[in-house]
Amino acid sequence: MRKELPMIVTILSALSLIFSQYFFSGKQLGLTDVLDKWYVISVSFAILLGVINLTRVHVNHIRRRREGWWNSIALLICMYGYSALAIQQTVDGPQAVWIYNNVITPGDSTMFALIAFFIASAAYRAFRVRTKEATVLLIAAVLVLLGRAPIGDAFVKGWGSGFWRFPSWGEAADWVMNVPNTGGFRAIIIGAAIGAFAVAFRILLGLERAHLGGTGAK
Amino acid sequence: MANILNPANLTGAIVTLAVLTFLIKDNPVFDLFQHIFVGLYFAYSVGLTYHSYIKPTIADDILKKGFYSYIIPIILGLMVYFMFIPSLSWIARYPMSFWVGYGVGLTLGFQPAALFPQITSTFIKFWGLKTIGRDINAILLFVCVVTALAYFFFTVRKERTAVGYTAELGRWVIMIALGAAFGNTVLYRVTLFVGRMQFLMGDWLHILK
Amino acid sequence: MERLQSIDRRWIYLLLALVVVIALLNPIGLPVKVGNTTRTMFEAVDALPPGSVIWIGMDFNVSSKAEQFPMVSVLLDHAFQKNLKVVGFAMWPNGGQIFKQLVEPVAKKYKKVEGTDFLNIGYKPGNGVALRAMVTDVNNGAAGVDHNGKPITSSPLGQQVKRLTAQYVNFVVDIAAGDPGTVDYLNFVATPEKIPMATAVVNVSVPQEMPYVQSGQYKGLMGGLRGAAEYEILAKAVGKAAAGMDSQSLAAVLITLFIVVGNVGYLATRGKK
Repeated sequence: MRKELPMIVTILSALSLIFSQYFFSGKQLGLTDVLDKWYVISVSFAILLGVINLTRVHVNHIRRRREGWWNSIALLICMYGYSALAIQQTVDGPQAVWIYNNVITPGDSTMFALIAFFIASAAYRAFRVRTKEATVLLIAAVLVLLGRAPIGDAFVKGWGSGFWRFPSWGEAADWVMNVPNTGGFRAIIIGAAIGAFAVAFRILLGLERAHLGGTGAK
Repeated sequence: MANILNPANLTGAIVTLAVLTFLIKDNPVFDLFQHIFVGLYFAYSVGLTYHSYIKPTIADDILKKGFYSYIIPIILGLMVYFMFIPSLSWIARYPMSFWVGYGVGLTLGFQPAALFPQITSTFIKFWGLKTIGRDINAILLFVCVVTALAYFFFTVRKERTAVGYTAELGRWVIMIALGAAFGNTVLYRVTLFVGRMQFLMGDWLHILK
Repeated sequence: MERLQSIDRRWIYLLLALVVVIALLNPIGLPVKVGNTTRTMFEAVDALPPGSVIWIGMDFNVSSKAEQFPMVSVLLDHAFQKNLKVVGFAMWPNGGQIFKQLVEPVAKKYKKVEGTDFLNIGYKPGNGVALRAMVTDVNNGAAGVDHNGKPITSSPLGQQVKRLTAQYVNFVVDIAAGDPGTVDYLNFVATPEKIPMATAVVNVSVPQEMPYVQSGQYKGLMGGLRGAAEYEILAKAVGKAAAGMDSQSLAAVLITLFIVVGNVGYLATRGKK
């Protein structure tokens, strides 16, 4: 019963949403509004899950004096200190917003900016014309890279008009984005959607049970 | 000079430079800041969720307006914490089941409608789109989508069959698409770094015009 | 040639940093040509009659600041120029805070008042479900409070925009950096409620969003810093995006050179072997 009842909960909540989306009487019932509200409330009360997990991991680090354990102390102090501050004065309170603007914002955006350097290094070391496919990928990449930055148009200006127009670098990049790129990504979108439907049906039919703590197989 | 010592910008600059030190080599300062960000980030969500949902649900909806039925989802949400008690961890399956079922309902209930235009707009009319260029592009787009889809057919035998040759072409389409994605990714990451330099040189040091 | 292959990566880092710094110090002002997707979006927003409600999804966080802060600023500038009413809503935790930070200077410039001309609903947890709750009932979905903790129904705009449906909202722009984001707006708002929608996404997401532009599900798209710079030109509000374009261009050239030099080295050494 410890697995069957949760399974029934899964199926019922899925079916009631589908029912109220596709059937007129389902829409009238307003069941989705109730479920929506329940979903949001239950999720927001589960917010401490991440905090508890992090606490367990880092308290463990500190206890065992793992390498860099003092970092764990910093993490816990920041997490609990800032939580208390944000709960006490809301995230828009004077001190809370100061920390947000001057520590979180610059730190986070610099972290993500680091990747620019790794990409530059990878471009130099790893982006090789080893196969025909790699060559196609590389040509498309350079075309788009310089074409979507304004510099491409400065290199190749384009001339002529109508059918006989020789495209500027930027126009060529736009064409790549509009035709082969759109085609390729559309196929990916359709493929991914079919995959998602398949998984959803498997869960609905009880074939997929990973979320119940099993492996999914019987 | 006074501006450089402005505590807000100075802190931002120290944080930015501390993270950038990672480019020279992995170092304790970077590790420390990495941990600080993770802590602050989680704390931010906690504070936000508390004020935007937890508090109003309890104080306004339940206590003031008397929506007592909201106690059910609260209990459901709290049940997830049983996962930390091994002997009672099965209780945590209930909220999980609800969330997963809900997700399934959303996928099957809403995704198809948004997906159909993707299919139908591939089969637009191929002729009479005002210019020959547009006609050709419409045909090319169709070919790209169909061949790339053929590449994703894993259940069909591909050696020396029509599907196989189509899929071969599709693989090239996917390569072009991924190349385009790479080009765009490079630009994005570079922009983020430009943004940080604009902060350091402009907002902090005031050496940008 | 072999030495060229095994160069310390830090030289590459240094070169990239130098190029960006030099370009920022000596802007050349490369002309930016306005692309079709941005123009379509601008025209769609521009065609809205004064007083229309435009709903802005703030689905990114500070990590994409460099690209998306200028997008929000220029969009707000355009909206207030046209006397549109703006509602900001976030599925990402930082969204409400960012909206507040960016709307204040623009509102001041056009003398717009919070609650009457714009409303910051702020962040609500639950991803796509929070969005669906907005479709059903904005006030209820937001648990009754806006980003500042004030009751939504206490403001005129809060009373006016009862639901996220075509009856109350005339246009939706989702400014997104991932998930939750554009997909949720497509599935839950633009498609079932038939509200015209455009999107402003980070450069990484542009390739995967293009199919929706072609199918007409998006009425235009602002892509990356380039898109923001294009919109700045159209809305005649030159801001931060244009300033970053030169650095971006030169860095792109440098990375292209890296690819070329790396491959020349590779082909030369492969020939030897």
